[in-house]
Amino acid sequence: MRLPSLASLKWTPFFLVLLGLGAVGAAQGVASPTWLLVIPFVLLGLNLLAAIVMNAAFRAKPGLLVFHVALLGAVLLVGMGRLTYLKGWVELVKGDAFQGELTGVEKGLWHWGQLERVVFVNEGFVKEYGPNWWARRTRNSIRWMDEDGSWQQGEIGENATVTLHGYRIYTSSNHGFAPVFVWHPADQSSPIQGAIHFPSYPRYREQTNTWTIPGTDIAVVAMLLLDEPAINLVLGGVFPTVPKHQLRVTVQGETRDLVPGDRFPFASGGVLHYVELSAWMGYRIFYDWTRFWLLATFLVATLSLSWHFWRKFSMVYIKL
Amino acid sequence: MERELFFLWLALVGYVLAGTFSLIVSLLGRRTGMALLVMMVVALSLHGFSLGLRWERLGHGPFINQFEIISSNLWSLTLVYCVVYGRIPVLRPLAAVILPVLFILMGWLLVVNPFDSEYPPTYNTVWLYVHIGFGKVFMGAALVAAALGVVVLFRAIRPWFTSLPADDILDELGYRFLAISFVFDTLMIVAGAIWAQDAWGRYWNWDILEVWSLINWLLVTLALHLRPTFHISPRASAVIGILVFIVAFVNFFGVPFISRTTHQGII
Repeated sequence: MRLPSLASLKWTPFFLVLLGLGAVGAAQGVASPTWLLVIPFVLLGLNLLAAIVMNAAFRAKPGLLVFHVALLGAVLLVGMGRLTYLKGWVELVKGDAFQGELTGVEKGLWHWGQLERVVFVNEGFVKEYGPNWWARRTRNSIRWMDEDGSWQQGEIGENATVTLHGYRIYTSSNHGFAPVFVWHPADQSSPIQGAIHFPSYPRYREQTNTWTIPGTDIAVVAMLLLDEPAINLVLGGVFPTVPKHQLRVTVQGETRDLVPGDRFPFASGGVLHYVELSAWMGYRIFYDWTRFWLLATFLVATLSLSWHFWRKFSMVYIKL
Repeated sequence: MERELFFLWLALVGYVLAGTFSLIVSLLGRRTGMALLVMMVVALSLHGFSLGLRWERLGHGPFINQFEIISSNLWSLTLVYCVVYGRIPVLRPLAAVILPVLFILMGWLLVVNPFDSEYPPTYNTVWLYVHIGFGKVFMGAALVAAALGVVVLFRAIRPWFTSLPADDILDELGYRFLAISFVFDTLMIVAGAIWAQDAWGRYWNWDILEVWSLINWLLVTLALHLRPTFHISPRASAVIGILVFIVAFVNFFGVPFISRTTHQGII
């Protein structure tokens, strides 16, 4: 039995089934998701290219041709996007600036962006909560440096982002308390300011974390003791609302409960000054230059296919 | 809430009366004519009024919780069917296939808690409405294509639906409805991707709903390819058309409620 040539449309359904299986496999994590999808996409792409070159009837239908070429373009764009994208995240306390350093990042092999040029400052945020801590609107005031080097101010939140040098900045649903400290070293050198990022609130009730004072090996273990939940479970409220609290700090085996303004002198020298209870916001940063082109490609594909079907169906009248 | 439920009940009674009328008239071998359309449009208007009251009261569209999704899809599927009923009179006997599907949704609606939904802030975008609008047209076209397929398969067993055109013509019509559903399915996915990008910072995340919607899209693609390439029989086409609708049904009414991702309960 002779196999049909690669240009044969008889291959297409098999490759489509293969792509469907690949998608299920990728979603279930049964194997490398990239290869499960790349193989059927390459096969479909080769099938389509061969059909365009070999099949004159295919070329004679411009709407159908444009649709398929646009699909091919979309696949190439998705591939390019995966090679050059960046998805990162970072947490910033009110007043802190982002200057290109991410907490975590995923990126393509050929990411050539300029993240180091992205500068923005978290100027404070308000997250509204309804009853049962149902998350509502986020309003985060930020300041950023534009392409000309001048500062701009604006508000971001759900569906409202700012794009800097191609990177889109999003607020996330993660935010939490952040006690701010100033460390006064024993040798009278310059004080160092820092903050502990407690786990996301109100998602996690247990509010504890450890901070190693920069330039030392002193570990500060802090636990936030709230007299009552910072957001009323029944009525809702806003975050961050600084509640009545104490900060239980353990350093070198010694534990103290601190309130803002308290100082904690260490036996080994140096003083830890608890300044205030602030809050951090988690940001997601996304870069994918193909996004706009993908949208344009899919719109061309859909319009050309609609045109093709319109012509095809209007030419053949069904007598009912 | 009582007022909107009252009008919903009136609408459901209207749908049931219209469906019963259609079945009795079909059994008597008579044509349903414009009377059924008038009954359906009255019930549809009452249902639309009920949805509007809820929308106005809650401040957001009826597509967040299970009650709202079933109710709004019942409305949109009925609307699509009314358009087909009015525009293509020869397809009116399809009521005997389509109305039972709508009855299933009505029965389901009656056992679902109509509690008030909360509108997540990430849903506050026009792209959501575009996404949902395209999705409803896709589902409506897929329902008609599947109903045509059911008729073809029924006729292989018994000589029912004799007033409908021959199988090859129904097959061609089914293909055309699948083509419409394919265009709107594509638009639905593209609009959803734009919304997802704005809301969650990614246009595609391989979550369970996205994977199912891709499978649905591939299935429609497959159906559109098989017919001209392999010249499959109307019965084989019918089976694939029905399969497309079943997967779409699961995707619309099943997957969103088992999904644990942020993308759930929203079609």
